[in-house]
Amino acid sequence: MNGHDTTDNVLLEIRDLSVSFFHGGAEVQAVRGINYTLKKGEVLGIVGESGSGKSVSSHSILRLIPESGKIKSGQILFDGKDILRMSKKEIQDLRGNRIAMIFQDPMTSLDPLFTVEYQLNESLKKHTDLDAASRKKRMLELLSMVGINQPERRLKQYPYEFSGGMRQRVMIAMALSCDPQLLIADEPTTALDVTIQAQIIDLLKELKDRLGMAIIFITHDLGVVSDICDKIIVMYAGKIVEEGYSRQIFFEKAHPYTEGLLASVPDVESDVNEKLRPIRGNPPDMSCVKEGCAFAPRCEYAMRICTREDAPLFELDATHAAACWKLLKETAQ
Amino acid sequence: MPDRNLTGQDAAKEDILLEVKHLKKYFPVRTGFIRKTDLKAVDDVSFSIRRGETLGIVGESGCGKTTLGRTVLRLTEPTDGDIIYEGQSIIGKDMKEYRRKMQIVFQDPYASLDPRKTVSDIIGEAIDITKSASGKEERREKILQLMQLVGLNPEFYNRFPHEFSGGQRQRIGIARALAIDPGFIVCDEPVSALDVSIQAQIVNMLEELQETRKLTYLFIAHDLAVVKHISTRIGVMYLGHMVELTYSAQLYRHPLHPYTQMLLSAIPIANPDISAVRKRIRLEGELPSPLNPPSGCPFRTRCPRCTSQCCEDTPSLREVEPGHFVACHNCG
Repeated sequence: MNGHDTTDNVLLEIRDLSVSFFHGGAEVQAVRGINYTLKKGEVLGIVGESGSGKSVSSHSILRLIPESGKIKSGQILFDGKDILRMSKKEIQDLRGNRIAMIFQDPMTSLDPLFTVEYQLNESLKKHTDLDAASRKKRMLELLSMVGINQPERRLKQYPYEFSGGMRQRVMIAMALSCDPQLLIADEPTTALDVTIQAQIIDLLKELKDRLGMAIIFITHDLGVVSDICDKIIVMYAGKIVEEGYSRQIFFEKAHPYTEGLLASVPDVESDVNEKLRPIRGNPPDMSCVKEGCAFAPRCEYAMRICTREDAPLFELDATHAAACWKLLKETAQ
Repeated sequence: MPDRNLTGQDAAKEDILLEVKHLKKYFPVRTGFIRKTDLKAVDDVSFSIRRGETLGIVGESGCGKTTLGRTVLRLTEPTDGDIIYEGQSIIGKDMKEYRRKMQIVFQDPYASLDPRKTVSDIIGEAIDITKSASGKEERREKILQLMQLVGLNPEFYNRFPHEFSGGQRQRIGIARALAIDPGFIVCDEPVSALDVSIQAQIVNMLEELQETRKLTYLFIAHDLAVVKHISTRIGVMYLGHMVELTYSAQLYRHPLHPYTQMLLSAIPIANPDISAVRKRIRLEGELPSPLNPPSGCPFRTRCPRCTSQCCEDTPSLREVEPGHFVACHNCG
């Protein structure tokens, strides 16, 4: 998990990635040196609040950063090859083919002027050498795979004729059209109602088992990732503050920020109505990053060192690490 | 618990603050060149809120929960039905007097504050309208007090909304609502646009304010965990109808309506052990179009317990156990 994995099972490895945005001379450091690896068929959840860098770091994998942004340093190794050094053509071949992406807002990710058939067909034409008849067959197959009834009829329809949940299914079908090895899902259920969210998560789980692809699932909601992810990364202010297997994050959480996130959500299972324990203060302004740990001003355990020096990731065991000075003692023993 | 007759007769005894009777809000919609039809956003909804309690309203997008909140304040005129505040019907009345008692906090803290006004202008406007300050000094004093009350630094007195984060803006919105000392506040998804850590701050603050200022809330949200946390009682809406209404703990422990059961089983739980073993009741299909709702029970098209009776009669809300109301032919 910490970039030392050398088995050939590794699909994606991110090394020391930093991304900044520049607005009128000011630098906003969105991602500040992150490392992680993803194995084939693994589901990784990236959790964080707005501005934590979770989306930017994942969009960098496909080099989908807006003009004002720049990948400052780092390597993104996909199957051993550095994406950041690829030519335009190479990256085009990768997008939608071996790495696919679905977005938060299924309402705006489809072109309203074209039928679903046209849009699905486009992506198959681009990435496969199937003939028209086999493409049609494949499209019908994809729509039924994502649980859309009467695929024949639905193919002829325009995006406005689909509800939000159905559009997200179309997006997933499109993403799966070339059997990608990696699916990046950027808050795929945030815009949807809870019952539809549950349907989409069930669908992703089922597809993962059936197709064996790896998934990066970006969300702000720890509840959503709890039953789909193998591993979880928690991000704060552009850095990874904790990483580990899902159970380690939920039951052996070590970073005060992870603890605060979990305590901020009311527990629906409990009968007693305990007062929520929010994290005090506000997220930091990433255009003027101060010395020390970015979470220190909001942290109830903050010590003197926290305001002076940023904590490295301390390994709690082989798969679990957190960036907090209070772990120094524990890991030293 | 003394909770009988919540919809009716013993209103005075129970210290009912607000009572809504058979409230309807239809929007006329053109569906063809000449053809018009009604979109029944709120269809025959009745409930009452006791002084000092929080009534939560949950439901998915398009269920009519926001329209309900606005109609209760007559921000949109009801099509039919009655709204009774402190024993008096507010239908057809001059709302000026009631605006001092009934306020609203909106969902989007970015769109609900005038970008060209400073914080003191925004909060002060409410004070000016109600003439509740006698001089400039008292006005300023009042604004600072309100800012302190909602946890805003007094230094921000002359700042503009764009200088604030979402959570701080929501605090400004709450201060504005409190400026005229209302008794009743409609909170329309006040935390849905905020980050989790900030949500908890605002929820806690709303709870504290309720206690110190004796406020009564109608709390509208789609986040079931937050609603359960803050509400005394909860009403579940589906396609313009109230399908279940009961005490918060009771609703989660013992939901009766099939829709409520499905809704609750879909809540994501931040605990991999529970979510792995938990049985999820799958809700099949999609919400029917509100322009063309099913006959009879609005939920029948997706209901596993649907019978022929459900296609014909619309079930009305009835009390199946003390304080627990449900609109279903086949449960309770």
